[in-house]
Amino acid sequence: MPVLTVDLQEGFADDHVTVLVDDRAVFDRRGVRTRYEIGFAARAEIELDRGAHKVCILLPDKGEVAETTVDTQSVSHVGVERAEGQVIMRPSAEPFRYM
Amino acid sequence: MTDIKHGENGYGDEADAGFDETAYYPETATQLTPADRLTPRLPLPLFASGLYQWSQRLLVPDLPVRPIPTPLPIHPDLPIPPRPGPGPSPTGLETEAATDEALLPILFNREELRLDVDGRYPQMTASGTLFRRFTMRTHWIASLTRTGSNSYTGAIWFKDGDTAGFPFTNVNITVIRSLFPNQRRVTIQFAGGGATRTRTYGFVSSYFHKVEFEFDHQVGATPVLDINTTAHPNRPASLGAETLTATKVFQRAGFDVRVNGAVSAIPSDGADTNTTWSDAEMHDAMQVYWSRFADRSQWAMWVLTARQHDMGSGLGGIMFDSIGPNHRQGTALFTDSFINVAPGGDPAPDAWKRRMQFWTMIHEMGHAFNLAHSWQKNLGTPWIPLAADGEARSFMNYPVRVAGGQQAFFADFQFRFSNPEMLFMRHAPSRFVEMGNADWFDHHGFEQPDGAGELELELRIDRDKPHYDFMEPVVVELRITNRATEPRIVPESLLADAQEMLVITKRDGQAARQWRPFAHHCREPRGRVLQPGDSLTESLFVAVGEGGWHIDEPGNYTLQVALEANGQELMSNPLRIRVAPPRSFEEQHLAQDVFTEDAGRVMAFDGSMVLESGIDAWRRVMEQLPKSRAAIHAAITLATPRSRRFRTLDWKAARAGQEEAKCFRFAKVDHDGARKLLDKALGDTRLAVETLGGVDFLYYAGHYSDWLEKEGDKADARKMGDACKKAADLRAARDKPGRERRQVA
Ligand SMILES: [Zn+2]
Repeated sequence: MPVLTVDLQEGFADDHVTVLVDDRAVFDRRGVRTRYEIGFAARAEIELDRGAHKVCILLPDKGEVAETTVDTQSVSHVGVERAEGQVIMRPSAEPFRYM
Repeated sequence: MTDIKHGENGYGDEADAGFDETAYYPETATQLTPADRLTPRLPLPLFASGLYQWSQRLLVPDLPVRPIPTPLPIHPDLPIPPRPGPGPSPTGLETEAATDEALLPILFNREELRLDVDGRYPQMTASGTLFRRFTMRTHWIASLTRTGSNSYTGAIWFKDGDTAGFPFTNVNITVIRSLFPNQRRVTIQFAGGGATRTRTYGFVSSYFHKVEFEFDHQVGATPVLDINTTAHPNRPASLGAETLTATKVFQRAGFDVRVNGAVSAIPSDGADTNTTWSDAEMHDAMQVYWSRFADRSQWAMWVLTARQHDMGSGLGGIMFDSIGPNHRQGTALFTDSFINVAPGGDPAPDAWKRRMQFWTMIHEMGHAFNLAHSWQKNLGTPWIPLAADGEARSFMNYPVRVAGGQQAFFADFQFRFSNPEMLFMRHAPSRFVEMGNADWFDHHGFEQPDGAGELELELRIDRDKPHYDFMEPVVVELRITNRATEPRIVPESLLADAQEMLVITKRDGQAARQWRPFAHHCREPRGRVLQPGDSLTESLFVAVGEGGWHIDEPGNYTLQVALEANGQELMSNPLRIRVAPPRSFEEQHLAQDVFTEDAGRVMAFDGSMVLESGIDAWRRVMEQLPKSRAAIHAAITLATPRSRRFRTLDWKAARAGQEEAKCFRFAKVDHDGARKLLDKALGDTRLAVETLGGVDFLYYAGHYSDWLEKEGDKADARKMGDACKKAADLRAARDKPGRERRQVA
């Protein structure tokens, strides 16, 4: 079974973050905060069936939401950043690196 | 054990000796004006950049003298010494623009200047820090334009700290260059804001700050501490071939780098070599293996090369020390991570890996200098408004994040930090002590000043347990010891003038308070030579000061003292004391009269003939609590004015303009009364030393012995002399273990 890794990266400051895959909550955490020294906040790893899935990032307290569709054939990682009130998702075939 | 190795360019202690011209100075002097080009060039370019300092001058005595403890000065002639007006002007390298200086509400004791106009990566900036007795710091930064071969001008665009006494908006700078460091000078005329001021600074170093690195590694993780810049073919054509080290990188950023050679190889955890590191484990390892570890801020960092972090191979390195009050001391990089996996098809994979590991190390070290990632500059609370620069070719950018990825990054990377990063590291304010804010003391005490070590400041008492009776006036002793291997000169009045130090008292559960003495003794700053291991000790009557009593309630207290000596900021140990609750209703009742300003003043000045209510309070202590420790202090207080022709000012006569002799009234000497009181106070040597402290006991007993001798009572004079000897022995016995413990290797 393929694993999709969702990395919450820049711009989180004690935020409530929910990750939904195909409208099912797979990650729900309060107090998500970016460690600026590595540009990383939190990680969700989700086992999925092969194929396309809808991935949604929700910040209920801030009313921010972003959504994308990923195919496990070509995408194994999704990077999520918050910048200027927007949630940006970056699907990738490679793991994200930090330092 | 510390084995300090200077930067690989062979620094000596002399800041300028063996300076690595190639490390810091540019190959081409791009800042030359046409006038410069006409001047014949010396073999070495005479750069002006670096650290300069101004401070109050100390008069040095002709001959070294062995120190003897000097007692707390007592003015025998006036019950309360008058508070003097503004002190003497600070004497520095220059003649002050006295008239303008006098307009300012604050005088500054020490100033640092960082001039950054030539050498490697000049930022055309000057910045300064003005220090005033710990309680005030002012930091300014100005951008400069060259106006002549040795002159610059610019506007001050950043101010921080106590800016009220620093109205200036512009600087005009004149530089005196010289081959001889002691002849280099920078004169700054500050202007704008309705005031002017001129100050000349003497050269200290070609670098802006000192910093120390220690590189340790986990067994099995091979550190890469240097690289050949041309080993990998993907590089700028202009990049020179050299062996690059962290020392060189940070020297070029303006730091006087020392590498602590005490390298530790940290054993992997038994057979389980796959064990990964958590941040907490690295913090623990830092405490164990870093020879410089201390729970305080210091210009030093620990760099660990380890195998892998808990986060896995996706984390190349981390500045892990971001929790708690003293963060940014430790960084780590991980060899079992992506930084050791060259991209497929790379022409020189080994060189790529070495370069990436070195790059990551410098990147993490940059975080320890509080540098953010290049794309984060506008996030968080930047020190000045900064624009994110996601394309920067800096150690602080991720190579993979730029357009074209790591290939494009390294094709154009000069192994340097960006200019805004250089500006930050060289000129942003160092973390400063925030005075008047009680909370800081609750958490981590004072910020420890840099460069501690040569002179040691100790707060001590002459008793086994730091327990005091209720109403016992708390006297502590302040001792400065030369821990260097060379003699050191300190101002003679360093410990005697409490006005020149910062004394903090704090009762548990209450806000910290700054203690100030009742009087300020103005003195010529004379030097006193301290031989290696020698000390200077003074008493400090910390129970009461200007503004009232500090130690007047039962409970636990913390006392700490900071002062500045020879440009070095010294911090004492925090001394914890406990004050017992009152033993009786009588004590409680009496306390209402004792803990008054008058009673405090009378005791601080060893007696008075005018502060009646204060005198009366101590008289009642002697009557009602004759066996108490407070009664010993009371007896001294009441005895002193009786033992001499106490002089009081007749205000009426003085105002009427009478000649001086008629303005004073003299009390008669009360021989018997004084003797009775002093015998009571000093009779039990051990007890008196405990409560008065050794310094004060020796002072009072010594004077009493002299007085008895003068009165013709040789036998009792000798007895008091013996008591002095016993007191000195008691002190020596108490100091011995401490002295051995603090022995310098
Ligand atoms: Zn980083």
